[in-house]
Amino acid sequence: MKNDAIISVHELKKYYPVTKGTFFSRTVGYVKAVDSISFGIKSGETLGLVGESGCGKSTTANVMLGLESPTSGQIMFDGRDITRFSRQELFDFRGNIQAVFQDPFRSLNPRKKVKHIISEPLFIHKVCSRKEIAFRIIQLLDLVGFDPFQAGLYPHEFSGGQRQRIAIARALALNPRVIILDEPVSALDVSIQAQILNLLIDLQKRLHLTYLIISHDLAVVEYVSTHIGVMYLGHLVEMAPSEALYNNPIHPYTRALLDSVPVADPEDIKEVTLEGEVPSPLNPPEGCAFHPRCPVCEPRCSKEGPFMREVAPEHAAACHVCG
Amino acid sequence: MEDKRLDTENEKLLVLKDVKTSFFTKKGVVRAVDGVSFSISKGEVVGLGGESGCGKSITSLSIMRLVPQPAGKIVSGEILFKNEDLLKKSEDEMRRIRGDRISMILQDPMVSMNQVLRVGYQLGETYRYHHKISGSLRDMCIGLLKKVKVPAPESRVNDYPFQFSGGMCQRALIAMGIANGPDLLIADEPTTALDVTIQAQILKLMKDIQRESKSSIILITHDLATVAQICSRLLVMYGGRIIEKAPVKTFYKKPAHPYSVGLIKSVPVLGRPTGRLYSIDGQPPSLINPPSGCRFAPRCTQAKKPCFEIYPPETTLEEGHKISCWLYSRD
Repeated sequence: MKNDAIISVHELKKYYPVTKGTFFSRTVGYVKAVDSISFGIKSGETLGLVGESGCGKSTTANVMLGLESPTSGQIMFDGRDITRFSRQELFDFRGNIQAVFQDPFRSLNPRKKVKHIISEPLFIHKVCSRKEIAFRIIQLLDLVGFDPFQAGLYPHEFSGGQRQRIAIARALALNPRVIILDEPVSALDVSIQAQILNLLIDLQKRLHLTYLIISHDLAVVEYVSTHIGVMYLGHLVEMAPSEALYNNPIHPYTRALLDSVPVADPEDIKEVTLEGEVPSPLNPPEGCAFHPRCPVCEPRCSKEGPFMREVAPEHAAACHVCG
Repeated sequence: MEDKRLDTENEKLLVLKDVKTSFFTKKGVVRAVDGVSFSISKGEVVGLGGESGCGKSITSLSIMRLVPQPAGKIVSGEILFKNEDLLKKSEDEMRRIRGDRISMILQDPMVSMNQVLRVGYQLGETYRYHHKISGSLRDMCIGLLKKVKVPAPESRVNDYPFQFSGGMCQRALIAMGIANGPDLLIADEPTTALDVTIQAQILKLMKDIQRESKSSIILITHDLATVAQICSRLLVMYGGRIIEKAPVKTFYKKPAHPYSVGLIKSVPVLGRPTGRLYSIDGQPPSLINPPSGCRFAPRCTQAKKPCFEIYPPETTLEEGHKISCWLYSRD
């Protein structure tokens, strides 16, 4: 899977130092936001990353976008390691990978017209002439279902769902090959959420895009993704094709996560399967990060951390006990 | 107190009659709540669902008489709480009801608490306000934290809110809400800011507390799945009005209003791949100049001529299942 992947990460780590003191500050520890994760996404596929807040999914996205540099590890795009890029190379590379963020009320500049928002990447990367830009704006607006006249409006004249469409159009401007979607629908209402998800799927088919989608909503991720990775406290604990993950979850955390999603059916009342809360990443538990909450914990779980093991083709989980 | 409770056992605890709340802004009058009527019995858990801007939060603020001033105003209607009209109460009388007989849990647990006061102090605050007490409330606060299953309550009671996680803050807020044993608890999106595993824990906690205290709960949420998990009845709002009222079991089996049907169909369900997701086209209506007929008509696939002209009356489909839609009207 990793070999023919368009983008893949290997042993990626991102640690944030925790310092004490103002003048003579010294590092007293690290927050291991992302700790040795590896995965790859094939061209045209969608990987969904799920997990609770603070598990490192957004950090992973930021590192892959080149917005933050990793502590160690590789990010391979088309056979080249982007963590070793120079500034100029990184600048040229950024057109290949674009992002759509969570809150469309904050990710669009309120003082710029839609056409300026969408064309900004085109200007910065100088990919086409002024005349072509005007044409490209109309083309991009059409892709996300807007009329050309709406190019002259300001973001505040649009609703949340429409703004997210603008953000998507901006992400598409440079013809990227990979789009990272960080909680693209969590700020939207249900009826609008469905419109955006359908749009994303249509665009993927039409433009042959590769997505990395991050969400806390398992149902949303399952709907759009071909593969799903489950994260817990900076670790990837399970990775599988989405159907396999749902039908045959291996890791106890994945099972608990799937079980705790409320269902819109009053005859299917969920029982609480997971007690306690996610431990602080400043002081993570020894061994397997999940063991203090794990229902099937064994003595060795608190001593050594498990590694990802393949349990079925393309299906890997990090657990000593299960699988 | 107990006797009074028994007397009203079979009566309605809260009755809203044609409540209208508007905001008077420069751009015009925003009719946020436009003629809402419903009632809640003792010990009932009712869900109030709808998308953002449909008026569900303003309905709850109207009940508490906390509509933002001076722009907002409850224009007309009656809100009967234990047969007394809350809209006729003086501000002093209202203050005695808030936090004592009706209390509220807000959406974002981290910002609902004062960051510079200890959790224990904030827990006791509502009790102290409504009761004459001498001495320490520490034991009571520890008891409350125990009730909402905060671990190590004896030491946690001295913590500040920022030392609590989101889920624990929400537990503390629930403890505050139930400190005086209210008759009605209004929970405005209590689990929206929380992770799924914590959400499941909080929902279970609310269910347990309700079973124990027998108080009524209004659960305001945009998430229909949450409603299905703990409510017995659901009111669906759209554009400032209630469009469907139904027992939860009926609603998920046979939703009647085209909006409710669309809403249920547009949520992806885990483990039930559906191919393409159904989506309701268009945007929710502006409440400044709402359409004169049915608010949903411009987005409705089954809209006919009268839908655009006259607002449909409420029709009863079966016991407890009421709907405002011309498709079901017998006239």
